[in-house]
Amino acid sequence: METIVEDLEPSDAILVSQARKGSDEAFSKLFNRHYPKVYRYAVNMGASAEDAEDIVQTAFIRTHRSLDKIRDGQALLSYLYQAAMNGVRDAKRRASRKPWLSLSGIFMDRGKQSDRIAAVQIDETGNGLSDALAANIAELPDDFREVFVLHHLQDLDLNQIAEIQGVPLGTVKSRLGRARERMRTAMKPWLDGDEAK
Amino acid sequence: MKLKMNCQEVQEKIAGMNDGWLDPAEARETAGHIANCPECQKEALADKKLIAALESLKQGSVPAMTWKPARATKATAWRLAWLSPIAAAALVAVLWHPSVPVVVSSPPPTVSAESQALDHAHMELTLSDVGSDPNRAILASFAKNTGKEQAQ
Repeated sequence: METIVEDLEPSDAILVSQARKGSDEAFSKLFNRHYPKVYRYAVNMGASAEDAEDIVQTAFIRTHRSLDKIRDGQALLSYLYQAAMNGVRDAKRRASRKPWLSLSGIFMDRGKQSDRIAAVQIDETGNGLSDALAANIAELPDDFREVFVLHHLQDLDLNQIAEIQGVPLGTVKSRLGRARERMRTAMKPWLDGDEAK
Repeated sequence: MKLKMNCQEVQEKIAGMNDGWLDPAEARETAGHIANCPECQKEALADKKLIAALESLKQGSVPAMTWKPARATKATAWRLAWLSPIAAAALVAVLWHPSVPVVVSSPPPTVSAESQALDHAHMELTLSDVGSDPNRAILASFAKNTGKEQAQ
């Protein structure tokens, strides 16, 4: 029993409380626990690997500054995702004159987006489904994409997403419903055939 | 009385019905429509396939990263950077105070004799020699002026 207690990791709330008192070690544990989620979110939102690393560091720096306002683990995640979301928007704004990579980083800066999607759809390599999904998620409007990615790829519930986006729950549901509808239409060649099995 | 939902409205609700976040009345109406509409049945099935397919995107690799508290400190320092103009102003005020002896030497002229000669040559060209080759005229005038200065 004693061993089990020793093996238990401190909760986010405890680590936040220790970090608030100045413990870098506690915040470092929070970082190690949560940075993969934030990194994946950034990549799923279309950031390059390099941008995603910057977004992660910046999100944690912003969260570190806001430790006084964070009361529990749930709030910590909301802060992190909010900061990451802002980081993604900033990076996208900065890169508006450069090509913004798709989810899987497969696109180059050539041709129209529709041509690139068509190219993905006829891709006969084994990974075509993932690429097509990534390409079509990248085509969703930002608000829809944020909800779609946070819910389906980051496994956040709709209430959390409403808090992160700062919108009512009904808006999140509506955005998700419409995002799914767009995705079904865009993925029709895959979903009607055998590929999605 | 509200009209029954059409296919477009139902297709926006399919995600909620499959996930279970529609309110009960909407869920009943959506399910009722789907039961009688082959097109929306196909959509509902496609929606389930879509969600299953998304699993393939959840397995991206993540690089090893570490928390860099130094960056956070730097960021805090940056936030305090607004204080530096105030500090500079305070320093100037102290230095200019009559009780503090200050020796301020004027900076040396930064324009070289050569560039003064070039400017002069260019002015001469503009005023007197518009029709000739500008490069040759500038060089000739430059040589003349430099020679003059050296002779002086």
